[in-house]
Amino acid sequence: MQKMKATDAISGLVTIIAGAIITGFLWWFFGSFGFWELPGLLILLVGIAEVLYKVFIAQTNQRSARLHGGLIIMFIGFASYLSFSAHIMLGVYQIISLAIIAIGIISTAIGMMTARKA
Amino acid sequence: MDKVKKIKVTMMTSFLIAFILLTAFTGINLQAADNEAKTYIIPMEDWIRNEDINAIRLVNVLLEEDVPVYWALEPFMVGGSSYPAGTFYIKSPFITRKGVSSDVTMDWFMWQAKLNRVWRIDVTSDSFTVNSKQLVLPRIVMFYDTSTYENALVHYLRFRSLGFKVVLANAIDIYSKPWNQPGSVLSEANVFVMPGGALHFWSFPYGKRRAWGIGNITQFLRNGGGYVGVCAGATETLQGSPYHYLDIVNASYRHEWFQYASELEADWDWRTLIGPVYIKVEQPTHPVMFGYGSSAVRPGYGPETTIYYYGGPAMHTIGSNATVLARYAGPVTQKDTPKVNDLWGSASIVAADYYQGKVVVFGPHPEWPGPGARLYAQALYHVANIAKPSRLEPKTFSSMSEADISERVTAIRATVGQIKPLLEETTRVAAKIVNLRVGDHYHPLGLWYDESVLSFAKELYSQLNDAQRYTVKFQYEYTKLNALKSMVQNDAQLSNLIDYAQNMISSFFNLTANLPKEPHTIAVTDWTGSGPFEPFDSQHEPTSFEMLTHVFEHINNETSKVLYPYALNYSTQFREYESLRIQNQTAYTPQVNQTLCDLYLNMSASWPAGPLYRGMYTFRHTLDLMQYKVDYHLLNILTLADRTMEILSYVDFALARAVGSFNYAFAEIQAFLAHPEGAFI
Repeated sequence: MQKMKATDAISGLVTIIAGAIITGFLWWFFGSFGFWELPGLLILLVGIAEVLYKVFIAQTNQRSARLHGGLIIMFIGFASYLSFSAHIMLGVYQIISLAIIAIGIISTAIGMMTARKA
Repeated sequence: MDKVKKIKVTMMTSFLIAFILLTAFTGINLQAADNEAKTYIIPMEDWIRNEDINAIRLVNVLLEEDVPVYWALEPFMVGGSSYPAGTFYIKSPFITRKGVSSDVTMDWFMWQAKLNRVWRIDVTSDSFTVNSKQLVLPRIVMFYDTSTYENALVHYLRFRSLGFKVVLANAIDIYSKPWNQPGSVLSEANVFVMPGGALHFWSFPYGKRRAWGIGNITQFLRNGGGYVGVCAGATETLQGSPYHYLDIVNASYRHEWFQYASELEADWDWRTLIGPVYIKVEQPTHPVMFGYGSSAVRPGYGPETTIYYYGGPAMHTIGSNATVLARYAGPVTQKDTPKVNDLWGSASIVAADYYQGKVVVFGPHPEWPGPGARLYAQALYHVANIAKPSRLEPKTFSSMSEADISERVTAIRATVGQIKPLLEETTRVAAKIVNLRVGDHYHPLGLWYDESVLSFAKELYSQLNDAQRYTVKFQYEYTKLNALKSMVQNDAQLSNLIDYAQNMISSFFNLTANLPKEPHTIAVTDWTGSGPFEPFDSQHEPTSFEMLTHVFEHINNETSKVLYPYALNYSTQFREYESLRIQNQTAYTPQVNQTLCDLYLNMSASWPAGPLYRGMYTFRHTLDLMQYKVDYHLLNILTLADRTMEILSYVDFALARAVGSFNYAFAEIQAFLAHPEGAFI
């Protein structure tokens, strides 16, 4: 098993912290949670996706562009859905976000399957 | 742990994190309505988060729906935060006039606030007491006649930005019916606005009809109506004015500026003052001045604030019924002359009580772009005291079919398509006229109205775009409401809301098909001898939106074939005058001076009218066509459209709350498939 590099962990953690700070700031600035959180959540959740991918590499010693992309797409979809779900009027955006999540899940699953076969 | 297991663990961890985030955040925001007593406070001085014009516009929508909105008349503290006088707050629970609950209404409000840069609204359950006024929505009648020029248009645009719905009234509307007779414009209003321009009672026929007009406005005020006058609209109210038609404010003004010993001298000094001036707040605790003055937080609102000046009254000798709210403090860039420098220190804004009524008069122009917008809105809130119903409610309760609407949309879009090239040509010619440089407002021989023609042309273009956008949007909304109707058919209240919104849309399209008669006569010639113009008689009167095309053809012909040649010819004399004037300054001889004076007197002769007045009235002729025969109709259409859009906004929200975001999205998708453009407007 390959150990995860400290720099990988730190860069992922920094992204997550930056996303959390932006999310918190926007929440404070606008006084509530809503679609304005999208930039913060995108950074936060993409940071999580990156860390998960790094963990995957460390655990399996394999790289998969499809899995990497799939995770990022899935978490972008989650970020979008989270920020739009606060608004009853943004149903169309919520549906689009769910579609992005679905694409991300499929891509991640294919990436997993490919990695498993290898 | 083998590789497959590790992959599974990684995958499961990913989904678990995402799921936790998803449920946690969704739960935070979709809490069920609790219907508890809450107060929503709009901090008007948080200028980074809150745009005050937008906040006022949203407050006006709430007032339209009978939501109790309060205006704090003194500072207060609640929940550890302090708020200055002038803060708006809304107390729930309440029920709107259409039976929508306060939870739905205030959720809609919070949603709209976020979309309209009113980002901070404090919500508290703490109770507090503060001396406040429960706001009454100003139902405004604005004078719109020969003497209001394009200033009425500037007023309208300001009111529109603030969300006030305006009824445009000409002299006939004011004098033809007693003020309190049902159906008269004053009986359905609580504020009368007299904009700037010329002295407005010159728009009334001399004699008893003028007296009836004055009597109606006076009685309206005596019985609790409000009056806001700007510039000339202020002058006419002053008891010490030579033109004290209304006699309602105990004050005078420096009318000697406008008197002159000879025709050569003329009244040009005051024109050196045209432009923004500083005003200093005298009464920061008066409701009209909340947010302005030495303790102002918003940039540009204090300690002195700028406001546009255009020859309005410099008021003095303030009497017992009047209070000076602000004074002219100093010029921004103007270099005044000794004759008019007593402007500084004179009263610029005065409030007065007149029997049951309240009056606010402005010497300068709060409607112009700048920090005056909130000032104007506060003046309106201050003088509006008797609640009146809206004039914009649907007259009939029968909705049009989608096919009828489709027909109207096609007709309106085709008409706008025909008008735009005409208007573009008019605008180009008007710009050429302005470039002749003979219109200068500061020049004693300036034609003045050339820029007005250009401003109207540009503004009409923008209004046509707005009208077109609304037609497309309303068609889309109508289809969406039909889709939602099937989802809420068992809910009588929501079904009624849908019917109401669809009636508003039908009402809008009906107005475009049946424009009301506009009473002004467009003459072939006038007292100056300008013209003869191409006749504009009853057969040219627009009775539907489609007929506006003919009026635009008329305007375009007149601009190209009458105004431009006239201005070109006038520019020759104007240049000759300028050449002599420079010669008179640099190489004075008595002969040059005499030639200059003769030319000036000849060009500016009032009777028989010389080229200056003939030119002015030639331009006025085209402006009359623009103002009465086009813009009057377009402004009425836009007023109804703005109101319809507001209703659709909260009805859509109430329906989305009832059916859920996904069902609402499906209705939107259905409407999008039928009318794709509407979804993007």
